[in-house]
Amino acid sequence: MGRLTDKVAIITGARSGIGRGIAEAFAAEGATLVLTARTKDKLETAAQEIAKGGNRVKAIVADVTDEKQVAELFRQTVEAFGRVDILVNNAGTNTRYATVDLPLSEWKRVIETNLTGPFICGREALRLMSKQKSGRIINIASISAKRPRPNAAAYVSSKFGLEGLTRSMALDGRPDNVAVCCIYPGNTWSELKIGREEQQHREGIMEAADIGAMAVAIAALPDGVNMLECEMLPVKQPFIGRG
Amino acid sequence: MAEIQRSHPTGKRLAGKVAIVTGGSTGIGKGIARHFADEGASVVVCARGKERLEAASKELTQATGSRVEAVVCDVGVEAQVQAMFKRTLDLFGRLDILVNNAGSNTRELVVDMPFANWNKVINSNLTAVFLTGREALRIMKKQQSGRIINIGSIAAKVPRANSAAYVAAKVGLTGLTRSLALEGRADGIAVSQLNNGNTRTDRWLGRDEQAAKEGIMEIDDVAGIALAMVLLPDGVNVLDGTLTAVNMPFIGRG
Ligand SMILES: NC(=O)c1ccc[n+]([C@@H]2O[C@H](COP(=O)([O-])OP(=O)(O)OC[C@H]3O[C@@H](n4cnc5c(N)ncnc54)[C@H](OP(=O)(O)O)[C@@H]3O)[C@@H](O)[C@H]2O)c1
Ligand SMILES: NC(=O)c1ccc[n+]([C@@H]2O[C@H](COP(=O)([O-])OP(=O)(O)OC[C@H]3O[C@@H](n4cnc5c(N)ncnc54)[C@H](OP(=O)(O)O)[C@@H]3O)[C@@H](O)[C@H]2O)c1
Repeated sequence: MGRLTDKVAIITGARSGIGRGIAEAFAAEGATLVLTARTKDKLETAAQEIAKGGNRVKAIVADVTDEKQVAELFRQTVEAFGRVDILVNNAGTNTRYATVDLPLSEWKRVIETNLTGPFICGREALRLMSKQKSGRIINIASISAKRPRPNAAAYVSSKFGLEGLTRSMALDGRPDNVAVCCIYPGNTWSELKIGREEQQHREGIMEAADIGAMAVAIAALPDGVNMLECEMLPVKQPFIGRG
Repeated sequence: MAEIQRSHPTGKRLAGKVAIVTGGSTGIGKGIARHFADEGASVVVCARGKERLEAASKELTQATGSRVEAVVCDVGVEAQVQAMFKRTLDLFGRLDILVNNAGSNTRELVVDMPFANWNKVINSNLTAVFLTGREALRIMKKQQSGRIINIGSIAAKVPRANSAAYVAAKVGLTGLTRSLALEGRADGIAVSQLNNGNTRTDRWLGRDEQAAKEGIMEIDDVAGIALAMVLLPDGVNVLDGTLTAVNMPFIGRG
């Protein structure tokens, strides 16, 4: 019997990278999964591969920035599985410009995906979980929510904002026993890292499975216990000192 | 695609590893020692009180089948700390994990706090971690591996009234954690701080009303997260974790 048997989890951005790593780790503990992303074929391939482990896995295409699509995602999840115990807000994107060159359209795209998306998904989840009097929302921020990298103003702002959203949802969910928390990963292998291998070698890098392992430890906590913050990074990554 | 690994919750995932857990005779420290020993680690537990410590070591050895050795040590006393690390190396030849859990608190307003109480709390919660951390880094730098977990408190993030020395010690501990992490980094040593909220240990005897109002976790909740942290591969570190009851008055203003 897995540590997440009988739990229904929605994971956004689950076709690749960290989201996929969390989905595999949850699957290994017996969870029922709803995986979501925008790219239909890749999402369905991921869902089929994970379902080979014997889990109930459903792929639902949705853009987390679209209110209607997210409402439909939650409606279909409840229709299929009756409840939502865990939401992982993982879908995210980045853009690399010096602030002086950052186009407004790029700013908006990153803020909408990384911050407005978790608000839209989190609101749906809180509505359900408040009625259930239980549930857990795990937001995937970044150590960029603590200290910036250069040329990443939109990303850094979205992740600082996600910390604020986490705390606010945790406060608003508290009377109904809903736990809301944030994992802050450092460098992790994913599509976001393609073309930056030299930097990763220098700074150290984690596997998506490492984030998956901590996400399982958090998701398996009993109702009423919350790991509000979990900052995790490669030992060698420059972050602790001044810079 | 990689094969999905089914978990082995009662496996021996720490077989061959050696851990020291300070304050391992009761409470959170004993819970962590049990979780590590359950996974096959050899563990040294220390505390000042000999009787309770030896009872704990016997109980954990019997329950887990792993070696859990008792070493009496006041972690605030340099010579005793050095003797404990020497004893650990004599027994097991290496040190993979140090959990700095020992600590104490006194409850009074600053205006009423005797200097002796301030010194006692700073010494057992903060200076102790300098002493044990220094010994551990010396060993782990030679090994080019190792992991140190400091048990902080949510007092390291937001103070409680009547606890100035404790809060100062735990905020200071965050500074020490970060400094040890920075100095251990080049040698692949992971140093982290787990900040827990209310946890049902003997400290909570007779405080049921407060526990019910604020919420409280069980020892196993904290120990389970500490175990997940040490099971991460070398090179991956949870630098900072905060773990509380959902109801804990901590997130908002107050
Ligand atoms: N990799 C790192 O080093 C690192 C470090 C810290 C934090 N993070 C965070 O971890 C999360 C995952 O990152 P990753 O590195 O795993 O990235 P990734 O491999 O690029 O994966 C991003 C996922 O999000 C989905 N996605 C993007 N926009 C979406 C939208 N509008 N609606 C629905 N799904 C969307 C993508 O699928 P589609 O394109 O098909 O929609 C994809 O599945 C992000 O929040 C990222 O900021 C990553
Ligand atoms: N329980 C909570 O609600 C809570 C909340 C936040 C943080 N924490 C932290 O969690 C840690 C453990 O707390 P706990 O509640 O499990 O405490 P506890 O039940 O009071 O146990 C403390 C342990 O530390 C030992 N100890 C105390 N001073 C020592 C010294 N100078 N040298 C060696 N050992 C010493 C004690 O044994 P002897 O007395 O025999 O030495 C005992 O084994 C502490 O760092 C505490 O600050 C606890």
